[in-house]
Amino acid sequence: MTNPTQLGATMLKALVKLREQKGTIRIEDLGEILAEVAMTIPASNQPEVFLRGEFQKIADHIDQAKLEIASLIHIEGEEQPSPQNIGHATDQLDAVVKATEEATNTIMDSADKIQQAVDNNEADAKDIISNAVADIYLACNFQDITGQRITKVLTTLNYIDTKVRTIMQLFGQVSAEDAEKVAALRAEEPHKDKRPDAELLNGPQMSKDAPNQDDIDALFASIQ
Amino acid sequence: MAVDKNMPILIVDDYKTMLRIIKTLLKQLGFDNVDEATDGGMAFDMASKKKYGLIISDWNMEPVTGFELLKKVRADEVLKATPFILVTAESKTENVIAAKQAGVNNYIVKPFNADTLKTKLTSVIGEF
Repeated sequence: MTNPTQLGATMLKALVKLREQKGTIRIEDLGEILAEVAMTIPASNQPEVFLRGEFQKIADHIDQAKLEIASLIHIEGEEQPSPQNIGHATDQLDAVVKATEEATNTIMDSADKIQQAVDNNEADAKDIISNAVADIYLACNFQDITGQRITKVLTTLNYIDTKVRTIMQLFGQVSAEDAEKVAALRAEEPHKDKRPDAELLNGPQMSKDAPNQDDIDALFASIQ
Repeated sequence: MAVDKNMPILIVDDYKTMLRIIKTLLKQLGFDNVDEATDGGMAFDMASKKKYGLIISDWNMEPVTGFELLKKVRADEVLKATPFILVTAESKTENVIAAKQAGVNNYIVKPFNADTLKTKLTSVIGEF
């Protein structure tokens, strides 16, 4: 039967060796150690087979978690971000912001030209207005392109959500104590909005929930 | 007293397209003397140097929001009476309450139209 003291000594020896070789111990190293320790446990009886299996399972979970997370980020050596990773999604959103800004400026430029032609009663107003209207229609192309980009982002987000849930399953259920730690972690996030009125910054609401101007006016008038 | 359509107006938004929209609408209403700022801090500096007849500001900007700008303006002995309209996508009840309690003169929710801007301007600065 495996001696717990020997087991502990084996693990400690492996940890110390690793520390001497690599300087720091990473999570994936623990997976390797557990896998090695599992192999040293003789499969002479049921409890030891179980113990060996559990150590190997933990080692496999650590490997699996590493691969799931790696699939979400840009890996050194990759020429382009994979469509599934976060970097690709942010690139798509940057492109959407840029495209909508360009389209908006084109539409406003056209509106200015029309207004000027009308105000100045220009001789070729008809041509100016026709051309400006054509530019407006063409600028509206942005909706098709941005729609496709946003669909790609949604696909990526769904993929990320699936991967994160898979990783969470490897780590088991979140206990009540974990939930408290998560709340504390969120409060400390380095990207936490430090503006004094951050709690009031919710951005636009979904159309079905958003009040209209009349609702806002009624509320405004009711406040003393 | 008749509204001076030449009065300087300060518009504040971090999106240049929104600044352009508001400036164009104000021009259509006859207000040509319009300055622009892209955040509350910049706007407060400008307002400290030039007397504006009206400030029209977005809320969500960095580093200084329109709400913080409103509070700074109302706390300043020289600027405190400056008419101030918020034009923002923030539409929750707590936002409207906080803004009114901080002294905003009117509150426009995005997206808005030209009629709304004209109505709110009239209510704040008078008929023009």
